[in-house]
Amino acid sequence: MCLGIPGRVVDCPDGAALGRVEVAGVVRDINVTLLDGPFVPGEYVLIHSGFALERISPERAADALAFFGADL
Amino acid sequence: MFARYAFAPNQLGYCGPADAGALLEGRTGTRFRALAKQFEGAWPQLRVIAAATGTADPLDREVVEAYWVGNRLLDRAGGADPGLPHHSFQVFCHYPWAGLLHDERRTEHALQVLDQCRIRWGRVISVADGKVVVESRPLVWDGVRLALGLPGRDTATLGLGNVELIEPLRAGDWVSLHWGWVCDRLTPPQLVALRHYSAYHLTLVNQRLGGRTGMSGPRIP
Repeated sequence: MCLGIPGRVVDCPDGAALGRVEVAGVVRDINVTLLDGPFVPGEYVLIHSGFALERISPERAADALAFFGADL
Repeated sequence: MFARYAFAPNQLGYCGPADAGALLEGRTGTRFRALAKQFEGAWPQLRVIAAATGTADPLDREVVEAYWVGNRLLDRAGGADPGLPHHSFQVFCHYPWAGLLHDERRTEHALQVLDQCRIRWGRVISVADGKVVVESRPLVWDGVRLALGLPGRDTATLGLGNVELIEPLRAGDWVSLHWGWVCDRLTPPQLVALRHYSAYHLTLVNQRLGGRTGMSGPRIP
């Protein structure tokens, strides 16, 4: 099935269960309840099956996206 | 066959190309192959099975069946790792969710993802208005090991709009399920294979989690 993929937080109101995250050029609603907020627009999270599982650095996001053939 | 199994997680945005509808437009040919290659989890496994069995095309029907459901090809495709290139191995042993079961904050979501992401099997109870009520056994977690719980009823989606992915179903049919969608009608050998390879990898993940076997309990009669 699917590997985890980095996403860039677009908008995530404090305390919300869902945040809007850009994933491979598409903005999707992602469940952020497994991580502690707040989430700052522009930061990167690792997404798997619709959940943000881990905060990651821009550098790590770039490496992962390069693997998938995408750009930051 | 690949589209039937890959469509649901693709539509949810979990893997594969961004345009889920494209997967259903043409289920053969060069464009479909290009779409299938974008499933970064499934495609390498299809290649492994094809290479190990001397099959030229990773999208050969028997190769695709081996990955999603299981069949005799898998027994020729194993490597040094005890896991086989079957979808259940990826879900249970490669993805992060089983490792999150011990984290109480994440247990519920992890179990839900594991159960929806694996290919489930269920028996059709009724069909109406594009929805199918099925009886199936959910994954359960007792704090030590994953297992299949008591049979319960779920409602799954059949087809997409005017696109019917499988022939009409009848009560009593066995079907495969992925992320709340009905993927296919299972033949008796396919049902046996899906149970077998799922059980094998459930046992494997339980060993890795420190538990024991995972397929005890009643079968759906």
